[in-house]
Amino acid sequence: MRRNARLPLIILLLFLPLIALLNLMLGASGLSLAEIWQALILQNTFSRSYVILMHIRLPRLLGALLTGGSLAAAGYILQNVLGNPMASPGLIGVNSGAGLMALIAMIFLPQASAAVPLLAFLGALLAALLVYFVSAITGASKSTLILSGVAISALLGACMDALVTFFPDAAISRSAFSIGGFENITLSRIFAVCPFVFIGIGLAAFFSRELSILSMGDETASGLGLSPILFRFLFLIAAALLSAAAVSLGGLIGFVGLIAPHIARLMTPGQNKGRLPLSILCGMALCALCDLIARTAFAPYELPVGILLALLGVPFFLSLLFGQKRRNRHDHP
Amino acid sequence: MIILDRLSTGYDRNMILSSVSATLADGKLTGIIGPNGCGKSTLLKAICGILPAAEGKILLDGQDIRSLSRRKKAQKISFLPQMRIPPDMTVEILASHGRYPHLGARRSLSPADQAQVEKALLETQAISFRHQPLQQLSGGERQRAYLAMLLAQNASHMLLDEPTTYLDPESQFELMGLLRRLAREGRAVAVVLHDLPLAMHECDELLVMEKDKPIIQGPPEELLEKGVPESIFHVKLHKTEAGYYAISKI
Repeated sequence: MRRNARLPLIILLLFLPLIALLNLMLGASGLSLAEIWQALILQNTFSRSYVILMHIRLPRLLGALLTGGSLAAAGYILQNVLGNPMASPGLIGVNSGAGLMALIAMIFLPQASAAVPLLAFLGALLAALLVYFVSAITGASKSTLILSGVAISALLGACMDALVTFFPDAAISRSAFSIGGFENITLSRIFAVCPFVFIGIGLAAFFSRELSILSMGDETASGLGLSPILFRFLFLIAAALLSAAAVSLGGLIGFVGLIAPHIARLMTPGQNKGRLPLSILCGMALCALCDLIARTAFAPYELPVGILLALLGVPFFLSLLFGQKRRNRHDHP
Repeated sequence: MIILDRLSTGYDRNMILSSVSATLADGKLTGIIGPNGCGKSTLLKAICGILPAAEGKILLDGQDIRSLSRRKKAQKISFLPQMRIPPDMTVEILASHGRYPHLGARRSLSPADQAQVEKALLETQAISFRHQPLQQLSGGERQRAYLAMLLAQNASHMLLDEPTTYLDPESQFELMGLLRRLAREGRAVAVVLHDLPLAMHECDELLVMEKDKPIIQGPPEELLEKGVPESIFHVKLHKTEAGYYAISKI
């Protein structure tokens, strides 16, 4: 039975390097395979291909992969922890929390680039806890959670707008940040978020059994001797770390956190083993693919990748809602 | 054996159970019945430690339940809550989670754990759909999957909150038969039921609960003689020739 989880994993593992390679080759100025190879081997720091590869294409590709993987993992964690397939870091306000604090860091601490992911993590964690407590106090149903998340997202979004209005000269433009994209990613920014990604994914992978048990609901989990409060808090920290990494790199990229775990779910119904890596690979492939299309489809114009993800993401989300309705017709509320 | 000694519990300041006492004996299938809102589910949640006791105590094999760790408690008491949203996993994965309180430091299933899961799947006849996702199953099949999880947990005390809901009559009898068999093996099995005739017919012992009143405990026949169906449920029970109970209005 684990066979059917392995096949999509293998396909994705083959597909991903292909997208990655195309990402490195294609663009305003094309690079051939030979040029990429030479740049990597010779390390001639003044050659055209080296500059393009190491200062533009590679950081951008790594940024897209890290952002996609982090958002997918965060979405996977949240969907399990909150027992809600509609949960995602973008929808329940976690990304907005990270975004607001990241924006504050960029405006008030423009020199301290390492502070961005750290403050983003705090913002993401606070937003996640806020959404969780609001929905727990008001009823904790699946829809209250999403509702309170959307409301808190809107509130935090307004705060971000206010900040940008008062500080129009900030290094980052509001529109670029809120749509999301991988234009200005440097290798140093990537290194700064790596620990966040590793700890976040590591927690989810190490405690995968607990995550699965928690998805059965608090009472069942309690009956099996697991503390729902302790582990929910732990997993919210993991999701906040991942969301902070993603927002620090790519801004408010939407829908990857929602879609990627669902694609993984469609590929392996009912399976828990291999779901997390599959979700991560889907998120990586999705972001890298959308960034490739966004950069090349309308050249010389570049479409912000966030727009493309939303164009793909919204119809998918809607079809999911319809499918959910069909499936739940025979379900008890 | 579980003994409730003048137990009071509830949510915040809203006490749902006040000073109730009862015994869940080993080797017996104990039915918990009572009108809606009398605190049947609350009682089970209190016993398995989800709701802390405000007053009084719960003794598990003579030991105060508060002195046990979550893990130790889950090794001795298994609990099937009432309303569950089917999680996204296969029947086999669900059943294997029943072994969670027994897992060692490596937190992976040993061959002995696997064997327990296998046995549980067989006993609940969930083995034929073990690889299917829970969400694609009927209510009855899901219930059997959860039972397999409970069996895999292999606790000496089992608490089930309305497990017969969503089951057709035949499956209800099957389930009760399985629970009775588990009790005969020496376990204390307590089950919340809504169906008065079923409870009367299937259980060895009954706890009758009523809001703000002490629990009435006894074997079904004894409670019938005391007129419990009339005084608490406002219905009449008649024993048919086949030994089953029929219900009628007073």
